Amino acid sequence: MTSQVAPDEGQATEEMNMVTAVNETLRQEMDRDESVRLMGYDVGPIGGVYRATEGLIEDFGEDRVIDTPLSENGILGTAVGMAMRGSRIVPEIQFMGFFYPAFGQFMYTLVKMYERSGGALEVPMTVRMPYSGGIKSSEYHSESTETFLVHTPGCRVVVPSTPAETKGLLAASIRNDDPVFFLEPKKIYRVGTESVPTEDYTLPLDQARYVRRGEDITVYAWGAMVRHAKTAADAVDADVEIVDLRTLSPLDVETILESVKKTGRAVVLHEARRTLGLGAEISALINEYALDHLHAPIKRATGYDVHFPGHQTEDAYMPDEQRAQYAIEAVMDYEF
Amino acid sequence: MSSEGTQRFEFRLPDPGEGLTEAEIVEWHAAAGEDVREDDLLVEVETDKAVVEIPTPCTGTLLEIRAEPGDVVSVGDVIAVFETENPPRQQSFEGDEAASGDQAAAAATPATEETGEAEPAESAGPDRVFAAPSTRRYAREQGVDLSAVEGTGPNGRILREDVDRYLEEPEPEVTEPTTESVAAPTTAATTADAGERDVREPLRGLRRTIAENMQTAAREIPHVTSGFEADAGELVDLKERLDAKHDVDVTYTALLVKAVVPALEAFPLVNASVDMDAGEIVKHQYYNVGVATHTEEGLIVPVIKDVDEKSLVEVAEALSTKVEAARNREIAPGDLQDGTFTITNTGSHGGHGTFGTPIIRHPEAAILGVGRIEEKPVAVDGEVEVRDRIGFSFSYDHRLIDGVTAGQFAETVIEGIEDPDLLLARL
Amino acid sequence: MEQWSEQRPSEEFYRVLDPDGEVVSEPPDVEEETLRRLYRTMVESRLFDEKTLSMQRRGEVSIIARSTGEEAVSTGSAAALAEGDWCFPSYRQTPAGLYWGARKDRGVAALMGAEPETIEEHLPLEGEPPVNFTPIYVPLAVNVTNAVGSAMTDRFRGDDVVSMSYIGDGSTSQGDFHEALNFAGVFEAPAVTICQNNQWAISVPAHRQTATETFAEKAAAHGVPHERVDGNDVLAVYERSRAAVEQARQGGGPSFIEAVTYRMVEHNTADEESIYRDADEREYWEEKDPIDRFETYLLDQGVLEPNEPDDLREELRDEIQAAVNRAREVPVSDPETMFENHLHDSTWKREHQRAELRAERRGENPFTDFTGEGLQ
Repeated sequence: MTSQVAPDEGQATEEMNMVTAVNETLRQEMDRDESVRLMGYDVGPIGGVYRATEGLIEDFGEDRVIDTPLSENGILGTAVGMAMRGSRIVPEIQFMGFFYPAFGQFMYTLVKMYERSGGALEVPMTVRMPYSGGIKSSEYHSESTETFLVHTPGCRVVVPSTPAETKGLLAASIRNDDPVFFLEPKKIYRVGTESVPTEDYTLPLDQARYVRRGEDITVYAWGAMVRHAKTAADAVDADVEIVDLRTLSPLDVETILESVKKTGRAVVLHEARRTLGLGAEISALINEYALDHLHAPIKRATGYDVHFPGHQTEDAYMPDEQRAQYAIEAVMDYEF
Repeated sequence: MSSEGTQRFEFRLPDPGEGLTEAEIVEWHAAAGEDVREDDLLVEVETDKAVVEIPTPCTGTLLEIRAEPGDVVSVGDVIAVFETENPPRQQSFEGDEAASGDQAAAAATPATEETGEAEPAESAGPDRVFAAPSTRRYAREQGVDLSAVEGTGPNGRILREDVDRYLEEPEPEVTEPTTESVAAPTTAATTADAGERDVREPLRGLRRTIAENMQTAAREIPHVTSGFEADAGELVDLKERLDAKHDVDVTYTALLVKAVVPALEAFPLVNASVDMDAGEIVKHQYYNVGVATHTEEGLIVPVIKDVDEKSLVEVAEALSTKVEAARNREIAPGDLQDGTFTITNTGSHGGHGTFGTPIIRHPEAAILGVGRIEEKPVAVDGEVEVRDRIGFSFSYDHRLIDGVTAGQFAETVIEGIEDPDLLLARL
Repeated sequence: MEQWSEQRPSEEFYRVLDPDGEVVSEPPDVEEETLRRLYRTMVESRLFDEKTLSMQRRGEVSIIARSTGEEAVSTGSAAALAEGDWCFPSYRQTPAGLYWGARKDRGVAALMGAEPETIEEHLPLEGEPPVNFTPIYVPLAVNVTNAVGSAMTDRFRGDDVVSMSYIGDGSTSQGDFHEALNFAGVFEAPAVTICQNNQWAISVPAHRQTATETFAEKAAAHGVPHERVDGNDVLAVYERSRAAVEQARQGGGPSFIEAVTYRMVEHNTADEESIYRDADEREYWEEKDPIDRFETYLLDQGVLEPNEPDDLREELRDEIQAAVNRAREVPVSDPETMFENHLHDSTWKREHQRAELRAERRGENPFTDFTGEGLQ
């Protein structure tokens, strides 16, 4: 499985954070393909509430960077219509917590049109959504409800964990002919920069990434949780292997199984609620296909089955390196 | 398929309204034998709610009417049969028709199996064995039966290191009762050192197993041993002839293994076991003969299975292979199990032994000790001749077998040995 | 249980032909060929509905929703489109498809429950259809939003393509309707939305659906021009639709047309209409039948010869039967088609689950892969 994007010697790079990477990628894709258009609230002159689309309306005009009326369902519904007509539309839903009015269009057309037309009508769109919490924002601005998306066939769900990953995965998503949900962990929009190649590149949309190799235990994570996995891995005695899933749908089942068959132990680290979060799916897959190899049961270090809490209690809800470390240690200490 | 491209179509009563299950035939608007046209009114049926008109399903000929006015028919029952070039498919019943064409009949067999998916080797007894999946797999790969391993983990769980420890002990994988009252000389020195009167060493491995088995046999079985002697001349000739003719080593032991089978068949109690708890005599319907084999560590008894179904050459081959495996301590656990009768050699050590009292391998019923073949003076018709003779020490379980039966058994064996033609006829 | 009372809708709408086929407004300028095509389409739809109803009654198709009595609405409006335009129908616009040459055999096969891939395999489309039709939409008003998006694309690209969508009276209560019209207005999208107001949303009458006097006026809330026409008058529908489509094509933005008609039959074959509405009302509307009045007009005008109505019906019945016969030849869909066309590429799960289904259908246990390496 591929490792992290590593700039070659002499390749031009730029220090980018995740937001910059999004911005650069959108610019690059819109340059490359004139059927790419953006739409959403406030994506035009103010460049998006997180500035992800900053500067793009100036360069590409208001027919390609489209500020819309305030209707998520209207955004996604018209985006589907545009995609059906061959426009590689990249709508932004301002926060994942506001995606729900669009659930009807999501279920009835976005994920269905390709299938019910027997493959005759494609929906090549990429829905960008700031996702997950950790920023002490108001209600509904911190959702991690990817389960609803992953449960529904007919769309891809992609979550980057670093700026370099963001660039490659977003470019691949836009170029892909399937509908893609690109969930941007807003907590790490501006945390840390890295050297990202300025040339365009794509990353595969069906391969997880080994962040770290190890022998004793596998930690599966994605998005903002990957860095917590890394910190925890350094803090424990065990030799930890970290798999960044990158694509929640479709899952790279081969890598998931390959890793746990080697280590025999697994922890899934996700911010989403415990029940029916992807930890449940991964546990089920491992149980079904790798039980023989297990030295211990699987633990899921996740958020709780509660509505996302307010500012004062948010930190206690959020999984972090400490929770990850506990999970790793518990699994390592387990004796059958 | 009938001629002229027409087909037979069985028309079933469709669901005339949401969820109805049956209807009563009111009136037919066509008769059997008539040509009919699709969509023309075919029949009126009455449901709870109303009279429903059902149109003709296809253009062609109405062959049969299967329900008469007044009949109550269920949805799905065939009510008419048509001949038509263009038969329709009825949606609600389509699943059944399609399925019968596609699927293999009857119960699904769990056919597909992965390599390495075989059940881990554990006993299916009332006592569960607790071990992690990875430990089970490891044990399976090492050929270890988990039920034989002592677990040192919490609640007696078997850990991987327990499996490793088990593997390091030089004992046979499945414990087997062995025999022979003549123990091999121990290798441990028993010379007392200056100042010490005893030297202690652990009773372990094969020696321990033998000790336990001997104790059980002696405790459980009332042994009686009878001695017999037979003329060995024919046996010697037979052995030499066969050995010369075949590539495989045909030994006396192999011949004897084969020779006892007709007697075991004739005297089932000798091929049996006693289950005192159940109060039952278990007569084995198979003939697995063990051959006690000397090894450096002690006696091991490889078992030749189903001797009655093997030819003499096959028995000889099996014997030679297993004996070698036993001597190399490579024999598989299965080859040490399930014996119904045992033969042991009492004649191979030194030249002065006569008879012995071999100990039966519990839970078998008898054991045949065989002495050396040696020349002896014998009276034949008043004259002294020197002849090859062979002696037998036959120990038997007196709970099952009495002296007369034992004697008859031995006589049957000896008959065959002294007259190979007779033996041949019995095999 | 008290039935809802029907309230007859206002007749303040645009009409060319009255129920007796008499001209009451200047007829639009329409080629004779088009007039005949309009007529033929409505009759074809009526007969197709009759045929598929019979098939449903005898279990050959599971469920249908007929357009009986409402044919003029989608015939007249769809006829106003031009080659290259897009149409987003819901489930009661059979005439619109037929006008533009939709294949009846493929339609029947779909009603029989065949998967689109199977239909494409055995009754393949030959050539590009002149007007692009999406698959029919079942969730209400969802199509309007997609149609507006489609129209927005053309506006941004500067194409002169028009997108048309269809809803019923009930759909105007859905959020999508309003969100879509709002976007259409803001972006001046070349989208024409037709509301086929047949007075009933299953058992809920139109006067219970809204507090407004008409459905057409709802578009005013979104700044979208609107019209109200006699939905059983194909010429009125055609004329106003043509104007709306042309306006859109010239960059004049969206329109909303309410066509007033009546659902002469059940909502669909799972519906029992006698529970909630009075059969007497049907008599009132039978006199306003769209095919009768147009036929009268065309015979008067000499566009149709006296024998043609009967001859045409016979010809169409044969055509429909032939289509049914062809649809019967399509084999039962392979259950494995259920895995097709969700994502462009295959995935681990799809391959494994497909293998499970395959094993199960062979009478083998599908759950015997415990390593992820697949069934043997």
